Amino acid sequence: MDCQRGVDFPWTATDRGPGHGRHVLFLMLACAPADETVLEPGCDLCALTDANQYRLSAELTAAEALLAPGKDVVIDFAGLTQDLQGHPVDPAVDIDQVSLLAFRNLAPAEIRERLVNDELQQSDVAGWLTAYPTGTTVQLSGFGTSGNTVDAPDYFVGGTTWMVILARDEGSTAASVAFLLPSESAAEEKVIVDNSTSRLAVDVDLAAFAPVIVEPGRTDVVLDWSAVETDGFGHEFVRSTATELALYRFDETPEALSSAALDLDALVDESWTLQLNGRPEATLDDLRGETAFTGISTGSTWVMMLRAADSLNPAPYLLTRLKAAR
Amino acid sequence: MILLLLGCGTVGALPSDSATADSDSGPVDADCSNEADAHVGGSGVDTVPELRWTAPEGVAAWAEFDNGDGLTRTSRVGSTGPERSALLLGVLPDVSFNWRVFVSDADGARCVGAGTASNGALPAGVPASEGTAASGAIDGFTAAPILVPGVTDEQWMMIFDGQARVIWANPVKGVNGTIFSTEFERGQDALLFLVQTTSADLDGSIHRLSFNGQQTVVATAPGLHTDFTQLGDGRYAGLTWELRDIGSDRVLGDHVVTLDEGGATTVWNAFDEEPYIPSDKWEAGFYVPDPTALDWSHVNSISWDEASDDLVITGAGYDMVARLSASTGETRWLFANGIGDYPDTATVSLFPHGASILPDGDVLLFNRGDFLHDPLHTCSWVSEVHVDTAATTVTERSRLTGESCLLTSFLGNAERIADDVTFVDWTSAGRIDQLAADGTSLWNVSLSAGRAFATADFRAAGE
Repeated sequence: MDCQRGVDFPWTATDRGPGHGRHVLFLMLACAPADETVLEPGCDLCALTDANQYRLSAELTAAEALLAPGKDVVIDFAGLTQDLQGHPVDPAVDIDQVSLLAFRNLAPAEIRERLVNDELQQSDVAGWLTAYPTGTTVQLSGFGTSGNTVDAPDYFVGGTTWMVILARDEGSTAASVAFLLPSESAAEEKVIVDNSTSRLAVDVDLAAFAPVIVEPGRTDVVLDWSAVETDGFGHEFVRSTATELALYRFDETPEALSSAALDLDALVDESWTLQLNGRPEATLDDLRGETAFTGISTGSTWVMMLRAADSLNPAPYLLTRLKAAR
Repeated sequence: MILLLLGCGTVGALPSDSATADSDSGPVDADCSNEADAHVGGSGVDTVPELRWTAPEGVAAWAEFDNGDGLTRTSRVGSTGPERSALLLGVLPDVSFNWRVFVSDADGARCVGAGTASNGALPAGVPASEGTAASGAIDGFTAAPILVPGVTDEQWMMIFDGQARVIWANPVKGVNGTIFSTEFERGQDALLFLVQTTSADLDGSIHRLSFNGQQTVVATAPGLHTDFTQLGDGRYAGLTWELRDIGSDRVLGDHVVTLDEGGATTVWNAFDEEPYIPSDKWEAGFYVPDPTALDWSHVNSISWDEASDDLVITGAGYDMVARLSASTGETRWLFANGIGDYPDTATVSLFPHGASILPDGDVLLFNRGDFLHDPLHTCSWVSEVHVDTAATTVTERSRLTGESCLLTSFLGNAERIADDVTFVDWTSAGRIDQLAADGTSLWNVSLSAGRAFATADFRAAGE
């Protein structure tokens, strides 16, 4: 299981046909803390607060290329053998969708900031186009919407910011991001996307929040997050946006997990999920996974998340640790 | 159902004779009897409690309830009985609220039941939105479909309150297509919405979705697409497609139809009312079942004017706006670029979508602008347009552009909701505004990147 959950990307459609754009940009986080002995009593009706909530800090770097306006710019990604998280990529096989988003009033730094802070609004995006490459290059003239090609080079003019997203997994996971900036002073008509083009760094300090101390070995533990007011981005926690509770168990030490924060899904040893119903509480009895959930135990690192299955937001709205009392 | 009845006892302020006006909540008193045998229960949607009570047959009865945040709302007045009920739309999720039941008989209006209850939660997975409301915003409800374009299993219907908060959200299941338009059902506690067909031969449908979550299909028609409106007699008016061969061209045009559960009747046909002028402007590829068909008249919105029983339609093909008789389909006037009796309308109408008659007879027109040829420098706008039928002139009297440049390339609509406040749905830009005459946003909601609104509707508090 890949750890990142993806950002759903903006789109632009027209009356001349619906469009659809889903692209993943992002991240996922997490890591776990030391599973030190806990001496305080555990809860079976556990009220979570902001003290139990993680805080996400992410930074996206992406190259900015000055290019000749009005030209049929070539995007060459033959040299992209690692994605923005450092995972291996076969550019000729894995890159199956490329998206091009146009912004009128935002600079690359502002767009990157809004992306990582989950603050990009639909109204920020002036245009969205997609191409489906069959090799390791794609040109502006190959982009379209709703199955129709569009004269993208005609729109590639000064005063606009373009973000290109090379995606894998049928467009669901971003492999690289770059900004294309039309400039009258530029003559270049080609941009190279390689392993140095973009990088995503995520910092989650799992020691910075308090774990929830629960009764060990019990499956009837109730978690209540009605008192949580802040999400992992520092925004108001709107609990109705979450659709799923996930509980992960790791054999690895928290230190090992922390060093691989972008690969939690790959490192998880057992996982369970339950579908939320809008209520700010859930009973762990309702968790389902490939193995039966038998309660929180010592000797493992437990991470609980609230997230949206089809969210624009790849990061959990709530993430905390559960720790068995002794 | 999570609604919890906490008890009956505290009662409301002075009973109001008005069954429609909202007012500030008054102090609690104990002047209510218990004769209504009233109680609150779930409705099928957790954030819409249902209040049930008894009242003598023929006696007007209604409920007042607060929204959990200091605003008192009033249900519709019902006069049939003896079993009465009201869906309490507008209570904030997860709050306690007070309710009171009133009757008005020969002894006057009096409170016959009261209590306090807790409202339920929004469902899981509600699309993220942000909103603000300022002084001058018109209190009421905004209903909007929320789409991930091209993904029909992720459609939501949502209602925002006067403070731009989500108070009702329903994931729409079981529809075979994309929701393009919604309206509050006139005089009812329900929404209507249109699911566009994919072909001139297949049915599109109009659905009724009660605030309690019950959904039914109320009308269907082959080729039904994009927009609809309610007429005064309980029927609907909508748009359908027709494919016709003209010379060597296969042309996609539109009808205006009236429809109900019994079927649809054409009252206006673009092939009869607009000349077909062959042009490379008519693009192939829009109509999926036949990619060779040329997208011609592209009629895309319809509204109904109660005072005149007229319809107003827009069509992107010729940047056309037309006023028709709803009963006969007679064209009152039609202005467009390159056809019709009104010259020089190119600056008034450009890729229009959404028009309505204002009380003074002018037309409120949503223009998307030239999103096809210059999308990165185009801002959509709303015009107030005067049509002088005697002089055959069309004049733009005022223009609203919103607080920032927003491009709407898909749908788009505007309604005048008060003398100086205009409701603007920027659909594909994921934003809805209430704009003051100077363009200041008095109320707005915005969606996170990746989702869009379809055609929304506004219902003022008390309507």
